[in-house]
Amino acid sequence: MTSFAKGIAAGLVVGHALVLVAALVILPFAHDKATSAWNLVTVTVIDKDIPAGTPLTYQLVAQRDVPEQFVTEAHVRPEQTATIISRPMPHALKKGEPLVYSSFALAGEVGGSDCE
Amino acid sequence: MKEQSKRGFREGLLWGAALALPFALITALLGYGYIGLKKTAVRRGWNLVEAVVASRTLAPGETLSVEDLEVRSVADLMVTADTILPAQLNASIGRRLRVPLAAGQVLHRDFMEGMTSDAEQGEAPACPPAETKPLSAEASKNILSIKRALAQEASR
Repeated sequence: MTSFAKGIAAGLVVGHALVLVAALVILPFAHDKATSAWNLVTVTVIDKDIPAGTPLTYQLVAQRDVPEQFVTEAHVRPEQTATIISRPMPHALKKGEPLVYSSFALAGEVGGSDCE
Repeated sequence: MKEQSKRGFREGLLWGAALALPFALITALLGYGYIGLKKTAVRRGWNLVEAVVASRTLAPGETLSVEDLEVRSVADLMVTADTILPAQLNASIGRRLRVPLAAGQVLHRDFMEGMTSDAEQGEAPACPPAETKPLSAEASKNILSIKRALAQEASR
């Protein structure tokens, strides 16, 4: 085997090894970047259309998975559902809409003005 | 003789590395395709619509400015009849907030003073049941204090 042929063989091995290492480093990173914002988290949603003023009950709420990029700290999580049960919703909600804590500040405002 | 052999090896090495380039190209294309497929798969079933969201955490009483709001694509289930859409952004500027907003939270009409929701216009909110006290102004300051106040009430 000439030294040139040995060089080609070594170049091929090193070149392919570098490509494989680069792929193994870049691919998981690119995969995480593409999918991380779409990991699903569970939020509490309303299970049927309700008019304004309806007190919330467990029968009226359900859970739904939503990509985490759309969920903020204001969304009610399933483990927090107990805190909103029996609270009146100050505005109408349609089936599937997520519940947010901001609404209950509004309920306080409503209750504090005319309902005492 | 030895020098010539070394030079031959170096030339061969470069040729070998050059011959690995098509493999690199194929690997890159396959990787790009795989990531593209993954992206499509995780987004499947989610319809995105543009809505106005808070660009930072906002407290009740704050007057909304352009810097406080931004247009972002959100899942359609987050958007209701009362959601402020990009075309209505200007109407929200200068309005005072009635509720605390978390960064990234979708803005609704009834979260602002002077912009009642369709639901409120058509049907006045009922008074809370007797056993449910309204939140104090202190408790309504931010999302965390609302959570705390509601949790305390629920544990009682």
